[in-house]
Amino acid sequence: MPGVYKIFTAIVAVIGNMSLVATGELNPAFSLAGAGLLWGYGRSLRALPELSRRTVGRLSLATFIIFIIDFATSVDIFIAVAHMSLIFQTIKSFDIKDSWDPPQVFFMSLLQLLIASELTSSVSFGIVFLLFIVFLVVAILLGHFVKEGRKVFRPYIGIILTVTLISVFLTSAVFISMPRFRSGFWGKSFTRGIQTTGFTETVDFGSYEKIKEDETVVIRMIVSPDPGGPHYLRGMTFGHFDGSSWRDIMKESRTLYRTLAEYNRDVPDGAQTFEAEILLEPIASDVIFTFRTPYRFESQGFWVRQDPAGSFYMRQKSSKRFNYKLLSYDGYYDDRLYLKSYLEVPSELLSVRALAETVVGSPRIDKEKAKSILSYLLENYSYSLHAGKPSQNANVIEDFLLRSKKGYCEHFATAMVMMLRSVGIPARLVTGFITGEKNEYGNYYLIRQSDAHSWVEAYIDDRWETFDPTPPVASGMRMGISLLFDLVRMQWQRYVVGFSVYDQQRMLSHIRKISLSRLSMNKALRYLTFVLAFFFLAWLLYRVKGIRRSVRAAQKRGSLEYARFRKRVIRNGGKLGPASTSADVVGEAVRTGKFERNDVERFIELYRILRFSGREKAALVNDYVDLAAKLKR
Amino acid sequence: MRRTRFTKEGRRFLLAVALLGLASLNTGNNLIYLIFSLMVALLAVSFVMPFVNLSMLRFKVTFQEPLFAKTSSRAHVFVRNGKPFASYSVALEIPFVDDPGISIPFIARGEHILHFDTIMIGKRGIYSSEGTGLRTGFPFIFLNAQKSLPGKDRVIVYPEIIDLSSLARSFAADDRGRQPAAVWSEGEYVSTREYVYGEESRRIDWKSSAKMRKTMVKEFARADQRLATVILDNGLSAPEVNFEKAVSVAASLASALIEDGYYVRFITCEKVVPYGSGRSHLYKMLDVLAEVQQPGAAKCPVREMPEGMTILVSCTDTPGFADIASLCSGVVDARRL
Repeated sequence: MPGVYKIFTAIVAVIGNMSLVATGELNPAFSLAGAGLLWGYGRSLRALPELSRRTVGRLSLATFIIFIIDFATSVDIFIAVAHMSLIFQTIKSFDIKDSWDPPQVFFMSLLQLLIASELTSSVSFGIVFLLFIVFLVVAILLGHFVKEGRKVFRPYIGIILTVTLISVFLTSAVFISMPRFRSGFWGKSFTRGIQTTGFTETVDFGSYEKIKEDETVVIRMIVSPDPGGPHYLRGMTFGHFDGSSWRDIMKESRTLYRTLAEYNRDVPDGAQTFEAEILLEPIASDVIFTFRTPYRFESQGFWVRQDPAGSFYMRQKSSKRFNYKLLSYDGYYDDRLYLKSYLEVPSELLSVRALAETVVGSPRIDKEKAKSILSYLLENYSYSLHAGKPSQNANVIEDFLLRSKKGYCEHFATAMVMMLRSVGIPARLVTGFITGEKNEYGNYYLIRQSDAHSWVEAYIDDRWETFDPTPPVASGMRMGISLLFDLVRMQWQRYVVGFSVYDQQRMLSHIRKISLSRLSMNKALRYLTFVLAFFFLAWLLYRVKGIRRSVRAAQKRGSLEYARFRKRVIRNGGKLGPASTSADVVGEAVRTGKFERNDVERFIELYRILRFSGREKAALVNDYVDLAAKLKR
Repeated sequence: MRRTRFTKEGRRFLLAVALLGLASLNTGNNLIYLIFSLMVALLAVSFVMPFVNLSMLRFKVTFQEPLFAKTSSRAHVFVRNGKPFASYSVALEIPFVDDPGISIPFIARGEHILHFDTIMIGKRGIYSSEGTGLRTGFPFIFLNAQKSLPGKDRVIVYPEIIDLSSLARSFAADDRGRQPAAVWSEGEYVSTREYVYGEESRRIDWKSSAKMRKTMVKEFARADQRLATVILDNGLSAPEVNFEKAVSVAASLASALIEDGYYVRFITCEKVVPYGSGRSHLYKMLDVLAEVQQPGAAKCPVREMPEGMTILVSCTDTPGFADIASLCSGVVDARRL
């Protein structure tokens, strides 16, 4: 088996192992065992003997026993099979004997890739997959030529590259056009949701502190037309505060809608509308993040629940990514269902009530009261993620307002809600995200865990107004390269991992919209001429270069083998001098009795063609090389 | 005519694709869809590329005659690739050739003549080139596409010739003194045969050439003229292997005797090739041997009585020419050779 074929087989095996290791889900000991294949293929390339059948059998049996123990202890068949495949790849690397062995390695790598696809959805899988296609196709083609006894692969580089490109292109085409269902049936997802806070029925005060330094990306969002940030992505509203935790008071009154069919609201005249395409990572919550007043959802036919406060939820919690398009307008909610609950202040917060009355001063209209509380908080309190814990008996809000005067969004928003309620304005806490960083490469917003935020909605003049009492904090800028990587990640998640029936429908409608009638005839002809000229020039360049290169290579090869053959004839007693012609070489070679006349004549005939004709002749080169090898024997 | 057939690997791959298709539908995992798409793409390439590979290919196979069974022969293949790009890994399948396919790894655009020195044909006979075709599994091994080539040329494959010159000479040594060396006196007319390139032109007999419309030569007995008869006993049905061996032995003896300058006559159950010498006469006998079969008759009619040195080649215990066996100079049992 030629070394090149062994090298490509080894690369496919390494890619298979890499796909599993890159998931980060495997035991490092097994990953290390998988790395043993480098040793195995190293031995094979140095033509050292393979393992005996008995040793391979024993090792395989041992691996199977390890697999059973592994499965029994982890109770995770996927991980156990992944571990087993790593060891099998290593065993196989010591047992590459005949042409049937590499296909087994390819199949095993395919299986590993399949397992990896269930364990991860990261962009690393995409890179590994692309490498896999390229090297698999090249390896299969090499295998094909090896079976035919070819030893020189240079003439086939062009066709190998062409078939590889066609395969990559067709894979993309099939992937895009493949009919899909909304989701799987009995499949089990191994992707774990991101642990967030603030989006459960009850939220303990202080829980934000844990996630405010977490840089994990939760949402990527494209807004068009972008009215300018920051954007508040609304998650849940909370109505009841008991002094230490917030509770959602309207869980039971959610209404179920089918997004495209039923959730279609009228947009008030003159309202400004905008679209947001949101890619939501799997999080440990059923909340769907929206702008203040969405009027339409577009997504892969999923259902949403809406509560009276305008918060949206999935029908059931999902461990998969959601991408949805949200059409919103700049409006307000006016729900009045729980107004009474929105005026409740815990009895221990009497000092807060006193403070609120002081801040508001003499009775004025509600809007001015709210503004004075907002200004008071913004001007007299500072932002800190390390607010410290209040003393044993003190309430956290009292401590924040009267003593520490330092806190983060949870402190500010809760304090404002309590102060508003103290002066008779219904108010509620809203949790969600605030848009942070914009990735200029992809023109989308990157929203991280650290962008989790809480703010206030107050019922003023028969509608819910938004207030954000948290002082703005400068956030660090990220390096351009990391934003570029994130763009790749975003595209991967959006167009590969999250590709859906909905995207297929959108693509079809785009294609329908493009018609030649939109292009003027002149423009179309100009484009066509340009494209044709480009391809013609490329082809011309390729031909000229290709012919020159192949002729030069053939001449070089021809002369080299001829010179070697002359030496061999002389060594065997042939009398050849510098002036001897190729015809003399034939005569002398036959005279020595060491060479077959037919072979020698054919060899010299091919030499003359290769050396002097200047034609394209890859097939002849192969015959010539084979014949030279035969004459050598 | 073109047709396709899945290989063993292809059938396994197809099964894997089907299973993976189900897995992708079941999980709804786009990454499994991606792997599934790769496999479908490889299948699609396997379907389309072989046809593209075989399209616009013209072939013409010429064998360097004479062809002998179980002997390396030379074939020249004229190929014309009318496509603007090359074809790869094409196998030329000739039904009567032993090799599973003459492999041609690369056929560049244009016309080429390819030479194959080790064509092996297993069995003698008269074959037609019908059924000759092209096969390719390029680029992957999942599917084989086949294309038949037009043409109904006739190819004669003679029996295998093995070196039996020493055996023939031993019979001649035994026979000397027992039989007269010749039945003709010197200079007596023996036969008329076709002119062979390289012979002296003065030997051409213009009268018979005009009659036969081809150049003929008259043969006259020489002083050292020796006669030999080779009888192939094809009367009773013998196992095919034994019979083929007997045919090969008869052909080899005839060849050895001709080489030694004998006038050789050849007799089977149905045919008699009269005395003659030289290579052209050898091929007359080989023509008969190329298609000789076993008629299954219990006894063969004795049309010509033994004359000169006579060798009976048999492959059964009860020869069809049993009546004249005792009159022969020797009996060769092909099974024992």
